[in-house]
Amino acid sequence: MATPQAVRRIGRLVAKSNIAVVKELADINAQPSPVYTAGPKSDSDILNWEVSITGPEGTPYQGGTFKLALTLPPTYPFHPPTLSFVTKIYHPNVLPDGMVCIPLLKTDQWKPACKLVTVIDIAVGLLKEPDEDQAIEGEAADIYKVDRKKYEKTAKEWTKKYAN
Amino acid sequence: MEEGKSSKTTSCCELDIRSLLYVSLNDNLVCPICCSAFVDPCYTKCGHTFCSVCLYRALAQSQKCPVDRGPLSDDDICPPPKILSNMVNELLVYCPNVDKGCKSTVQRCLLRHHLQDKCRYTLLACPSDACTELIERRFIDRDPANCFHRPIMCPDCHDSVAEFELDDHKNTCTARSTKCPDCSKEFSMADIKDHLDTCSESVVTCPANSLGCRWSGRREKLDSHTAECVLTSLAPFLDKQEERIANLEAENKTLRAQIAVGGSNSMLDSDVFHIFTEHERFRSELERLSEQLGELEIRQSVMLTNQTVRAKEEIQNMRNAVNAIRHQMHFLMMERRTWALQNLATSSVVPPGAVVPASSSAAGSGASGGNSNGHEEVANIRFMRRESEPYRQDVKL
Repeated sequence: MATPQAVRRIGRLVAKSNIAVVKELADINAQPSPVYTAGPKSDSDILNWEVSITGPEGTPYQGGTFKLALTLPPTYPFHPPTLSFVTKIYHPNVLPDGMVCIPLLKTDQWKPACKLVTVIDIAVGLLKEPDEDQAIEGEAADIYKVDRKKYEKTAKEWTKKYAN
Repeated sequence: MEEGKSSKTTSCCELDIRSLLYVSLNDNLVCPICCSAFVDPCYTKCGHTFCSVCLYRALAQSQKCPVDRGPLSDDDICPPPKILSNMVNELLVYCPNVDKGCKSTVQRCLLRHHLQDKCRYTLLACPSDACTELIERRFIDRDPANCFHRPIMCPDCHDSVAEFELDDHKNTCTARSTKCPDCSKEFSMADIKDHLDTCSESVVTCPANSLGCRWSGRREKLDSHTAECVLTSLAPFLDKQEERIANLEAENKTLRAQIAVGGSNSMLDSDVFHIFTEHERFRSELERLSEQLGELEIRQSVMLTNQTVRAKEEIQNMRNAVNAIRHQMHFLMMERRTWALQNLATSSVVPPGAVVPASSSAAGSGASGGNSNGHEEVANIRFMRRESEPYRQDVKL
């Protein structure tokens, strides 16, 4: 039997969880984007999000759906979240383990006024056009700089293979 | 009791302002960090506003503005304008007990008061001494001495239910049975909803009711009616037509708006252009005219001075000439008088050439001629004056 006290305790837990995250989630749900969907993996853990981005048209990623893991620290928004690709992707700004190189997400660059929507928008932007200046060490980055056609071909193959 | 009392106080003070639901919220009143309306706002020297708690927490991480990342220290923070605090405090919020049924909306600053003293759904300590649970105010108001946590047996499902929960339980108890209002058969609460949608006895209206069919009758007769009803068979077609008309109306509206905007704009543009050119024309004409006027004024004044100077000179000359003539006359008169006096003395005739030498000498120096004859003048002053008056007047005329 759920006593009012128990109900109150649950309420307090919800209240103690991050209000900023709840509000941002509400905003994202209120204005869904045609390009991506984002939300917590489970209702019980509001700090682990799954983002799913549709490959933008006119890029080698067209036709693919890319899943990313967005992990928020308990101290969000005072500390930056981390973003990594779960779906394998051939991209100059993505490390082989899926980590995305976004300067904004570094601790010294992060500002609490940044929103998760901004972070996701940057990731979508990277799919549309890789950031050559932020390219990290890796095969994809080297080939992107040297042989654009080969890069596009491999990226298309990977999209077909992993992101369908 | 002690525990109950402590919970009672915390239940009121624990109000989490950030999780409140606002009736309407201006985006400008939202803290960029916590995404909810400012709570106890503060203001930075770079012009940004945050909740105090959020800002100090962000500064504890790094001494930078959370919006523009400019350097920021504790000294750069000041209290906000009073108007901002008032605006956020007066925002209307829904009572946090809205889920339980409280429909009030109150100003945020009055919410605590509402929860403590008014809200019927606030949890308070159970009035029974033996009970440590909490109970909503509405139950206490109903019977201040009763403990509503006493378990009661549900008459239908035989579960034990707390007394205060019985009302809610009655609506959800699956074992409870109720009568269908149409066919009078008994159904459990779980099934009655499905039954009401299918009960053959219940009175329904024709699906084409909105199109004008006034038939209504038992559900079992509905099928036979729809087979005959013209409006029902027409319904899909009419629906499609209606949709088309709505689409066309919307399109028409946008087109009309476009025309209105375009038409008025072009008219406005040409009108404005016309007015501007006219204005420019008038301005240049005005400039030209004022220039001409200035020129004319200068010319006029130059001419005037020239004329005046010349006239003055002429007047001076004439005055000199008049003076000269006067002296000449004077001299002649004197000459004549002395001559007359001598004549009187000698009784001789006046010589006719006396006038000629006098006039030639007066033309050269009239003034000196007057002076040289001073002594004669003094001698005959009385006589001369009397005689000279008529001559002077002749000269002036």
